[in-house]
Amino acid sequence: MKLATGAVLAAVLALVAGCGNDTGNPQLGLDMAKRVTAKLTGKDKAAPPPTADQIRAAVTPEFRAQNGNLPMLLASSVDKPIASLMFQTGQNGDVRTYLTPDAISFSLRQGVLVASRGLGADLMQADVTQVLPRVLAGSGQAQRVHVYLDSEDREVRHSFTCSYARAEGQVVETCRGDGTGFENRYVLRGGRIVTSVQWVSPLLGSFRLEDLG
Amino acid sequence: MPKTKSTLGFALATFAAVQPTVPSAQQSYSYNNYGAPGLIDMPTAQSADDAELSTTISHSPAFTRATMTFQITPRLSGSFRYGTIKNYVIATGEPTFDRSFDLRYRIIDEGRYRPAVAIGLRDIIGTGIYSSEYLVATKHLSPRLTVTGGLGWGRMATQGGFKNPLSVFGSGFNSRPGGFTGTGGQVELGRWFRGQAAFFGGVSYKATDRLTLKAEYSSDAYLLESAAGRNLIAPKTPVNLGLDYRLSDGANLQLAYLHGDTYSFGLTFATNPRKAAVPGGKGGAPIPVKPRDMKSAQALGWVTNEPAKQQLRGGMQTLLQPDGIHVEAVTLDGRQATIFIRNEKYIARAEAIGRTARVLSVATPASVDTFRIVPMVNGMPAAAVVIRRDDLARFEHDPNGAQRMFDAAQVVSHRGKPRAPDVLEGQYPRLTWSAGPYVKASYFDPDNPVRADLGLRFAARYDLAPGLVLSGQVDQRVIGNRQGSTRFDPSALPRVRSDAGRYAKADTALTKLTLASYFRPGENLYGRVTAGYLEPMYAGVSGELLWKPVDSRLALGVEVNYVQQRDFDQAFGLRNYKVATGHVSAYYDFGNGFHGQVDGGRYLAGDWGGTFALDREFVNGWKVGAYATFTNVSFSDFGEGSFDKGIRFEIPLDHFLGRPVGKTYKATLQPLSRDGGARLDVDGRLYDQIRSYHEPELEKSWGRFWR
Repeated sequence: MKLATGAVLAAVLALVAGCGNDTGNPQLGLDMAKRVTAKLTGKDKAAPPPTADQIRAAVTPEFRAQNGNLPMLLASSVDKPIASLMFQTGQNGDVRTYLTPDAISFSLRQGVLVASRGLGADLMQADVTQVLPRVLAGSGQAQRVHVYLDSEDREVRHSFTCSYARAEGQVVETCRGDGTGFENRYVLRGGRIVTSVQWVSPLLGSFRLEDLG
Repeated sequence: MPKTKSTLGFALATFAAVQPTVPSAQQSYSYNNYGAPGLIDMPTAQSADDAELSTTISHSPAFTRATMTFQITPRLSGSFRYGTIKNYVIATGEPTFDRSFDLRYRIIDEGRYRPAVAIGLRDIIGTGIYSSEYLVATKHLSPRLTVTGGLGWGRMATQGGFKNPLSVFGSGFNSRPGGFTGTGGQVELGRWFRGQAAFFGGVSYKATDRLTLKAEYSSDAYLLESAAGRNLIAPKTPVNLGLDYRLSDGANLQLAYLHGDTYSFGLTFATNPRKAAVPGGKGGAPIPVKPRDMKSAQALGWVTNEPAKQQLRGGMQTLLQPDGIHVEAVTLDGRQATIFIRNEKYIARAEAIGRTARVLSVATPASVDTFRIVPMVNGMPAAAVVIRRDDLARFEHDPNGAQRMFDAAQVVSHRGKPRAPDVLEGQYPRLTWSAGPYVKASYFDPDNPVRADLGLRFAARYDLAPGLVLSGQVDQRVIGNRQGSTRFDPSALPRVRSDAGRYAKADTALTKLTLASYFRPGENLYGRVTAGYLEPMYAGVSGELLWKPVDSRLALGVEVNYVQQRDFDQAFGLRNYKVATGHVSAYYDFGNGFHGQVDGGRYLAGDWGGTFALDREFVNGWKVGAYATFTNVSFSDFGEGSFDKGIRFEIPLDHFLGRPVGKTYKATLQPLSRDGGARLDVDGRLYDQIRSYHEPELEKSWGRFWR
């Protein structure tokens, strides 16, 4: 059965390689080959990912016009050197959904993150009804609930108790619950969240979200 | 998605580099030489994590074994093993090849003072080289240190054996019958817990996160292996010393010094259907719901002119294409939009439904109130999910949105095919083809336990009309040794499967060429008729009828086939053997992750009987199961193994890639493939395709509706 394992691997390979017009065919073989080639030729190192500052500088009025003057969000990971521009592609009540060109989205209810998609281990839903008034007030306590999916696609709910305080012109939200905790920060202007650092999930960590309007 | 591939390429860098890393849980057990949680040769009372599937290859001068173990429930686990012992036939020095099955059950969980206790049976069917039973207790003295003690019978009482304590229940427990019944492969109940008993025990110490040290007192004296003439091991002490080293998550190395005489080493690979590479998957974000503008809903009225409808259909197709969903047809009548989709990407069917619903919220006129999403399977409507448009907007960001959406949606029966004018261009007729490598393996030939071929496979499928499919497949071997098999197993039955080795000699094989019709003959009924070269060994006609109400856990099916055996070269010629074969089947979803199937009917060799199958199923597409077939062929006529049985797997590629691709690897492991209880292998069997769009199956993956 040693070779049986090998055979399974080879069969998996057989599933992923090949060609045709069968769109059900994942054709990872090609993808993998490209990546390996990029690695060998050093091309994968050629372009370091742009920083948030570089992206911000590149957002000119012309660029906005090219993109239909859609509202934008500049998102960057707190833990990893990655940043991307996101375009508002949906609005449902007071929730706005922003999308990157490679199909990753964040949904914000009046500036508070309620969902992510396309990252893996995504925040599926969040109950932040108590959070919003506390962030605006900059004081008090609130409950929030996050919904995730487990490996078997079942919903897992995490409840957090959060407290709010003002520090250095920001509202700091400190949450604890279910054996974990996180800290979010919000910068408000005119009673509106414009910049924030918000936690998505244990596996994804926190993201800095800047409303570029 | 807006047009964002613009001049600012670099600024639009991606988040693709975000790789969520799942932290590895620290496990307190490790695998032994028998591929089960344990010490070195001896077991412990520990269970592996629920649903863990492991393969252990262990080797020493005294044995080579490959063991596959599945933690069937949190308490029950089973193993299948294939092993060889050199010099086994003393007269000729020939090796023996042996298959064995084990079962273990943890009776008592470990408590603060109480040890975990398990009962186990090794090599319960078959020839019984490893036949033994045990009762074992294991206790953690600290998080790193465990002690184990147990009582063994059979082979596990060959060292330090004493009078069986069970003999208080009767003197029959004092002697253990040897040998095996008939042609082997039967459960040797009459042997269990009989003969002498002996103590065994040991300790394991987790020195670091990667390294575990083990020592045991073994009650196995290796009598068979140390016998004169075999001389594979010469035990000097009952003590074995060993270690387990975690190479990476899911890969462990074991080393041991056995009985003061020789070494053993092992490799264990473990995976768990319940631990995905990326929970929820890394598939792209969906298009957000677009709430409708109620003013325009009243003002604009319905879309009635055909060109406008055509444009809407095209728009939906464009929006769903990146999601891997194909739009076959769209019917817009008044306040309802009906969309017929083909999903080849999402194993979680609810995700395909959810993505389609969101696209409809963007792409249909505001006057439409209701979305009716009809998943098509081989041109047949499988069901319809009916969703009120406003519910989508209401529940998209609801903290309990998945459940509320499920409660508000209706899964109903849908029989009607799309009307011809509603079908999108390019859907029918439609040609799909592919070319790629294949691997075929055959196992358990004593001359060469694993034979494999690597080649190229050309497949094409032509959908002439909804439900009418012409398909073919040609395999061209490039390299391999499957044709090298010279084994000829005599059979008392027509040689319906035992000529596999002769079929394997064909370099170029037409493995399939069929015309199939799929249809809905009535409410809750699904039908299939397939004619042509059905599989590598048989050609003929196959008909199937399935009864499956949309909300039923139970389904019933009938399949009738009339087939003729194909020539070994797998061109167009036929051999003389003809048979009418078919089954009546009952399928039942027990609802706790287990699924059962019973088939009764006539098998390929003309034998009558039944097949019983039980699978553990996971929402993410994994299945692990076992089956057994009993027919009116006597165990002696069946030959080695007595009756047909096997283990089967379905492994979704998505699990490892962490994103939806919709491909599943299926495999059945038959310890012995013979002519009794053999079935036709025809494509397009209805049940699994249909039920995935029905309740309760659809509800299980509903958490993915908003994914």
